Amino acid sequence: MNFSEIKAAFQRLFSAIEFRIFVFILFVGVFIYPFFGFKNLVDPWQVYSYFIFAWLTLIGLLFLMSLVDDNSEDTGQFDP
Amino acid sequence: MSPILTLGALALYLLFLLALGFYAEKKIKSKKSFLFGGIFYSLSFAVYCTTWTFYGSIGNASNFGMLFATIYLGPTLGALLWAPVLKRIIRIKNNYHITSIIDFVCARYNKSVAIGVVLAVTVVVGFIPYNALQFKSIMATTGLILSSSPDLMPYHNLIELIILGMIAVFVILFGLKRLESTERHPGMIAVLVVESVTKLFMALAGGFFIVYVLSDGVQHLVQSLPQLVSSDKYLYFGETNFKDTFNFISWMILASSAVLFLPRQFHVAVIENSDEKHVAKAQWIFPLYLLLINLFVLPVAIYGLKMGGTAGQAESLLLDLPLKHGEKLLALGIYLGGFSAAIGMITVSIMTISTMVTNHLLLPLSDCSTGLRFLRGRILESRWLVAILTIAASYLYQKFIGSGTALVSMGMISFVVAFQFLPPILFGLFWSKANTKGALVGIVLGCSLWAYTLFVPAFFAGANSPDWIIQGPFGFSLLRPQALFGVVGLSEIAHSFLWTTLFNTGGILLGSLFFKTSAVEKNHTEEFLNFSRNIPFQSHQILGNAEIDVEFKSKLILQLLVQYFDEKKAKEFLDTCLLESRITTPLITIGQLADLNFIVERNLSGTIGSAAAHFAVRQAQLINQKEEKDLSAMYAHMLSTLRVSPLDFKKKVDFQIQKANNFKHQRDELERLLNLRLKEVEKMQEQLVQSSKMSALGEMAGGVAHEINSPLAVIQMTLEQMQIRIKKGNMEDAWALNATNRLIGVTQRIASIIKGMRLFSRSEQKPPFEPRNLSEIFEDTLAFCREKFKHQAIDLKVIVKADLVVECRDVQLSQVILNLLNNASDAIQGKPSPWIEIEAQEAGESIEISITDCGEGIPTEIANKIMQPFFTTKGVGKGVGLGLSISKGIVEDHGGQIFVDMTSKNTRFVVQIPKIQKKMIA
Repeated sequence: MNFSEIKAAFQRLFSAIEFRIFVFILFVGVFIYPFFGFKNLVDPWQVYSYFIFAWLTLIGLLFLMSLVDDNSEDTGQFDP
Repeated sequence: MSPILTLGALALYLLFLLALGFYAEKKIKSKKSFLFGGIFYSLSFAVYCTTWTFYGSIGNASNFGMLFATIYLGPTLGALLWAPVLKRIIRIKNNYHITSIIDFVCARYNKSVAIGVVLAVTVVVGFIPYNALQFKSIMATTGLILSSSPDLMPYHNLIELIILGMIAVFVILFGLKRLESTERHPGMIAVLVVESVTKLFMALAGGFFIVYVLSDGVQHLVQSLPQLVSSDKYLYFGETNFKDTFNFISWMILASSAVLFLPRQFHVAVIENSDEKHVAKAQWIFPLYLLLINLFVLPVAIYGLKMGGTAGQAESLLLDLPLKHGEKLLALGIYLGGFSAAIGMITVSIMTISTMVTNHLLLPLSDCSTGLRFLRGRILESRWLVAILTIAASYLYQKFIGSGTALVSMGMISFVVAFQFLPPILFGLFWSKANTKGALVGIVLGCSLWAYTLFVPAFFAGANSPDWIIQGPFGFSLLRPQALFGVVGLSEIAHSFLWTTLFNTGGILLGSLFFKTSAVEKNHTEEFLNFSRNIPFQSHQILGNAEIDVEFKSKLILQLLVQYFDEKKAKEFLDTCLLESRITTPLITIGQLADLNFIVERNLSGTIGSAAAHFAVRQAQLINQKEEKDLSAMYAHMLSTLRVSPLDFKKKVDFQIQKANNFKHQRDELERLLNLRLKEVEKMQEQLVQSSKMSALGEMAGGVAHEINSPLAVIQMTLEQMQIRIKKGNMEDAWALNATNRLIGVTQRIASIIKGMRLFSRSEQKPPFEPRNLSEIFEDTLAFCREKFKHQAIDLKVIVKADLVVECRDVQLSQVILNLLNNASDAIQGKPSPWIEIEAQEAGESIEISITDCGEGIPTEIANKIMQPFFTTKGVGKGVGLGLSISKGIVEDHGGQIFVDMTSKNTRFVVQIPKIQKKMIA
């Protein structure tokens, strides 16, 4: 598998609306996780770092998505 | 800090922005300008960060902890869906000349005037408080600056009025200068970008000062949190419960929709977009901007709490702390940063509100009342007036009504309004069955519930609320605005979000299923969705006979246009429409008329909005009833000829479109694979050429060795003679000079042979064409084979003029000649008195090089195959049959030809190449 084939595979993955919705829901979960995971909060710095790291990860993912943005004609049909 | 100095700096900053805006308006006309590039597009999104972010976030964080971040996490999450959603919206904007977010919704739902009116009223009501929020911030910070100088306090109102005037000038000069609202505004974008950079820089500078100069850094502040606040104000509240989680999620979703569907955000994201590719860049640059501008918010809020301040005081911490610590310059910068945040938002917001109010309230009113018809010719002036009235209303709101309300609630109230656009837009983009009546039901329900559950109660916040708010209308507790249907415990925002979402979404869904969609609306929806999928406008040109008078129709169009434009502009408008419709004949078909009707309506939409344009064009009866019937009859005839029902026809068209798209994707994939393979083949060809060259050189190796050996013998002999003479002591100067000259001559000969070999064997694939003397090329080439020919007793004749020049790749041409000479010498081995003749001569615009040997020619059956790869008549191990095919490729690369001269009695190969190469056109 060469670079252009890997790029094309990521292009297909990132341009799928289902994948984007999945990441959206996943990160909503990531951001509300401290509600459950840090119930007995002892170290606010840990929560704060977790939060900033998650935010940066999401931005990084958006950056990767922009790198392989194909601008191909979007013909998706979502009519029920 | 001297207030005079501050106001002077403010005036200078405003003048700078004005000058920049003017420069951009005047100089930047090209769509390819950097101002319309991806980075500037991304930065213009930052109009999202108003004073609510700049100052209010700290207050918000102080009050609610990490909940403040949802306003910025929402857009970051929302950016994940920009590619599929925003790009579709941009395509539709380009095709329909959309002017605003309300115009977009109207355009989807059959150009509905009713939807436009409902949304315009809601926007005016919902966004005046939000604008008031910005004015409040400007006035509060200006007041803070002026408070240190009692002499200036009497002029406070005057200064406020001057600032208001400046804002009005900004809005009119950069946002409302042109009638065509769908055009981009370079002046406004330039100003927005500078403001975005200023506020980011100053927010970071202020935050850094407080966190690292006044305190011990982020970690220290965050870790001190448990000693400062009770558990319910922890980073994440400290208590896990459904309501807090729902609050958090609802704020995030509201913010993710607001970043696109607040009218000002829609304007910068959609209307000002010049290329949908920029969306990819904005989807990460803007979230990064949001993270940076909020980097120090929580630590600064904690610092404020540590100092014993209240949440209300926290809103001014960023400006207050540098002032108290004598950092006047920093405070001035922060003041200008806050001012930038406010003025950027106000400019775009007022501009969009005035466009929406004019297009969706005033123009429909002018259609209903003849007394208001004059408004059609005064669109620009109406927008200016609406802008000034909105500024005045916002100012008065903050002065007399909003002064007691916290900044944060004002902003979130507007976010919930913006959210009412989300269901109709998403359903409109992705569900073809969503119809006008369904959308109207959803929008009316959503907007009404927003007013009932959020906006009206907010008016009474802090004051004695009326009974009906506390106990519910007529004592029905289930109808309490802030605990509707018994839902209690949620924040007002989350509560309103819950009910407006359910009713708006449910209204559209059930309404669209319940009410039937008309045939006209179905066609319109299909066209709209086609545009969103990048399927271009389907022309109807071929339909019917050319019998409709263009002049008459042009008069109708002019009569319509002069109601909105002056005569000159109307004529230009008409000419553009005729040009775009490709109408050049005096008589047109009904199909061409349908195209013209569409283009006039679309272009007019760019000025007055799609709903008003649709209404106006219908009123003008550009297509009369008879023509409408003819058009319908023609379609019916087509369908009956094709023997399909309209539904089947549509299915077939959809199928063909899908098929065409599949073919396109497959073609793209095949092209990609083909390019990959072609590159591999090219690489292999290059390797083959190189190995063939080395093989030709190898064949000549014996001769070359001999060629070097002879001069070496001369060197050796001369040196021996010198040695003897030195020993005898009779080395005469004249003899020594002569001997050294001879040595130099022969070593130069060896050097030239080696240089030729190096040049010949180099692997540069496609060097440039250069003018070269042909006799020199012959000399270089023959250096490899003279000795071989001598050894084989071949008589070599070279006939070439000394000044014959040809533009070529010398090494490649040399390779061709060497191949032909090799073949010739192999072919004539064993013949009595063998000879080879190489000749070059001019032949018009070409040079003809012929290599003739004493053979008796090549039989026709072999001559046909001789240039094919791997064809050889040599014995096993003597050649692979690539020499001639590679030579042919090289000669053709030179734009020439190589062939066997069948008319010659001897074996004669001819190479023809142009003297001067044709220049490649990029």
